[in-house]
Amino acid sequence: MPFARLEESMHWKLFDRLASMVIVLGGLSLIILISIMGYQVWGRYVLNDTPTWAESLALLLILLVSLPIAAIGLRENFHLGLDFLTELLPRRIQIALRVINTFVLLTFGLAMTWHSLSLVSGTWNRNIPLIGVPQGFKYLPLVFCGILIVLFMIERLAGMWSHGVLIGEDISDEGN
Amino acid sequence: AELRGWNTHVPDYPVSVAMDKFGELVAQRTEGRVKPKTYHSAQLGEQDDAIEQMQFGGLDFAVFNLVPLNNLVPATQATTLPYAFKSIDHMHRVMDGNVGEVIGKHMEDVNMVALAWYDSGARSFYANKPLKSLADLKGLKIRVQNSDVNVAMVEALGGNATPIPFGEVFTSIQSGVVDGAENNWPSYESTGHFEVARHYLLDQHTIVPEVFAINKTTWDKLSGDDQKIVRQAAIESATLQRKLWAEREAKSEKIVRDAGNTIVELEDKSDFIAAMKPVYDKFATNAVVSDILKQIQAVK
Amino acid sequence: MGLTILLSVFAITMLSGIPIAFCLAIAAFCAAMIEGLPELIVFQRMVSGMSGFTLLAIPFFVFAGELMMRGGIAMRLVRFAETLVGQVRGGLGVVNVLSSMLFGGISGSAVADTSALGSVMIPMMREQGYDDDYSVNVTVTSSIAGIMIPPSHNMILYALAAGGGVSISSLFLAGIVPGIMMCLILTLATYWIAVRRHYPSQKFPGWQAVFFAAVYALPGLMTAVVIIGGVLSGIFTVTESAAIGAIWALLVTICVYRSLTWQAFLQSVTQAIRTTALVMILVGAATAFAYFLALYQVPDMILGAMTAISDNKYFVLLMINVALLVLGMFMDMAALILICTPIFLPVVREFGMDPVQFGMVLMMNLGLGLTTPPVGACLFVGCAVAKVRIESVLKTIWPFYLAIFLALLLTTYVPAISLTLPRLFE
Ligand code: NA
Ligand code: NA
Repeated sequence: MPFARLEESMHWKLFDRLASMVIVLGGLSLIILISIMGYQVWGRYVLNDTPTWAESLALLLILLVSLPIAAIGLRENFHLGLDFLTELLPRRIQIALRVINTFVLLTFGLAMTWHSLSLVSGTWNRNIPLIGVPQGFKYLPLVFCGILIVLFMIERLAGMWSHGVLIGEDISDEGN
Repeated sequence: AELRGWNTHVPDYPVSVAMDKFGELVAQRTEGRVKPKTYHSAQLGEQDDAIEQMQFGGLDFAVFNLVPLNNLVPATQATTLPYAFKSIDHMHRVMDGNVGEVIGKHMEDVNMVALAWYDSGARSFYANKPLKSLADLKGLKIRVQNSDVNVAMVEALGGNATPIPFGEVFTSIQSGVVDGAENNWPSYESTGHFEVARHYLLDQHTIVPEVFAINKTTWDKLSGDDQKIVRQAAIESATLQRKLWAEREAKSEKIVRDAGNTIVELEDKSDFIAAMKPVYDKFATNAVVSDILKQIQAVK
Repeated sequence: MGLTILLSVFAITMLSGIPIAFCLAIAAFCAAMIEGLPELIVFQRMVSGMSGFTLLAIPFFVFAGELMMRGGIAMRLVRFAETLVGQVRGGLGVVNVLSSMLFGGISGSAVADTSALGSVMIPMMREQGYDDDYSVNVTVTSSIAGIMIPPSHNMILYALAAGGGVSISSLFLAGIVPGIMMCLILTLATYWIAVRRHYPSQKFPGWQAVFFAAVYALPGLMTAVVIIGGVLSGIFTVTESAAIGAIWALLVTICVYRSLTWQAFLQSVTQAIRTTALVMILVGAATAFAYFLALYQVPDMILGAMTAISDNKYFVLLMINVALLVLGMFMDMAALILICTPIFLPVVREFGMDPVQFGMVLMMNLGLGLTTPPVGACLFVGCAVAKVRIESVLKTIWPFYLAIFLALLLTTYVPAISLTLPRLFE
């Protein structure tokens, strides 16, 4: 993946830090998740008092693990996709496609942020049973995901711009 | 106009048959001006999601249980509190009267118009241990739905409330993760729970109605004549649903009784009702809720 | 019209190289716009699809797999398999398949199987003079055992997609026999090629060595007992079993093997959340996509078309298998399970197939898809671990594909292979 490697060399320092913060948050959530499930079993068999909040809280945490990290996945290029076809195309068209894709994903990120915000506000008046926090909490990780996608796609476009891709010059010898 | 309907049950379930009947009646009587189509088996999402979609305008009509509406429309809480209704017939009389109208008014605040009330039976406790009176519930691990009222109810009755996904209840009872659960006759029978929890205590703690609701935006777009047709068709479908439900209940009851399960009918539920005081103190504080409760009790 | 938009947007975005999860969501988004539906439904469906309680098992299985790879459990399993079957011709190939079966019993995913065993086995085989293409072939195709032999998070996805009518315990039990059968057929292919290429065999190290290897491997293998035993006995829910399994794997690597460094632990956590995110976003996007398939009544259309083409059960099952194989070449397993189950399950039910058996067909078929180009996670990981080109691997992988395909046909046409064990326990 020639572009992917090239893009990684153009990542912004500030966003590197942001990405590692998200990873730390996700990792902590995973560890808390495992602890909650362990505690639930402990509560049921040893304390004879099942924590009724455990399940609902775990469902919130899994979203916090998955959605923001999925946005990181776009930056780190770890998602599954079909790139064997585009790799057969002439270099120029490959570049054009990459730019278009980045715009598509940027738009999608904006849509995700916008509509998830309406989901959050539209469900804020309703509580999730057994843990008593607003239903809107469910959709907050989606908002984070959307914002991160937007930021990372801007970063990618800026990187392409600085290498002259957007004004039609070829980027570099790398990957040719 | 094509109307999109949501339903959680499989196609041959009483609710599903009645909703299809609604679609048929409306299409016929409006001469195709309004064509309702119901998507069964929760194809368009689970109940909580469908309620949200209804609010946001993604659905035109649906049949919802009132429990998941509790947090959204507090007035519905009155109908879901334990022992609020005396019997299923009592619930029908209440909901077809003034109380139904009052709750319907409150539902308009969240973009829904209540057209008719369906039946979802009465839920009672069952366990794999003898269950004859209130004392037997003490210390039992009882599976409950994800609802604050249900957790509080089981705890007030001395049990240990355990939320478990519905699909895992069977193996959980079988292996002793929980001692029992609570549900109506058809669910008790069709899930096979009656084979692993052979004691059924008919305390009928909750008799929760289901609402046939239509999206208010959709409703307002219909002409006055079509509104009348749609409302009438919903009411007729409710009559059909209640009849089919009663038949289904009788069938399930026969299967369970033939299997030799211990069925205990409660002559006197006053100790169960008395135990509910902390639940009512906690959940019936809202003025709207306590007012509706009074009205429910006033209906004979 | 809406359906055309849904499918063509999906196809175009996918062909232009956008990650599949996003293609599914973008296609759903466009369909919502065309239908005049509120677009936020797409995002609501995504979150709702990711909120199933049993889905929580996925991060736990993935994390346990990472720990087993980095913490030394995988290595000890390989040693144990080596002492057992290393002395046959092409012994390490057979060891590779057997290790996959053992590891499959503790890991829920084929990709984890490939990366964990590949990183131990491929260098080992290279040292003994095996060609890299052969090592990768064996590692990648035998990793399907990770899906077939319980536990398996893909079976959890299938149970979810089937609408709750299929119990996870039955699926777990059902996977054991087809999984072992598949590995046996694969062993034949492995052995046959090893003989043709004159690969070496090892000396039998003696029963004492077998015994010690078994003792070393036992705490790791106990993870399987904890997870599968927990589910089958019903003492834990599936999710709890997975979490307890992860905690067990952590305790074993820290306290018994004492081979887990702090850094390996951190790598396990961060890699596990990446894999979890990758699977979960696919699950969410596929749920949004499936909403529109339901809205356009695609399952009914397919059922009608299938029954119109033929009323021969065997032919229809073959058609479904071919369709799944083609789809599996291009798309990831998790998304396909969620999209194809509601479409094909009604068809096979119409022809009298048990949903549990169809689950096994689906697992093995889509498992094969993980090892085929152009999109095959296991193939990619296997080649990456061995640092070889995909093309060189593909030239010699055919006998292995044939072996899996044979196992797939047997699973499709002989219900007893899948159903005997779960019926025994009912
Ligand atoms: Na497995
Ligand atoms: Na593939």
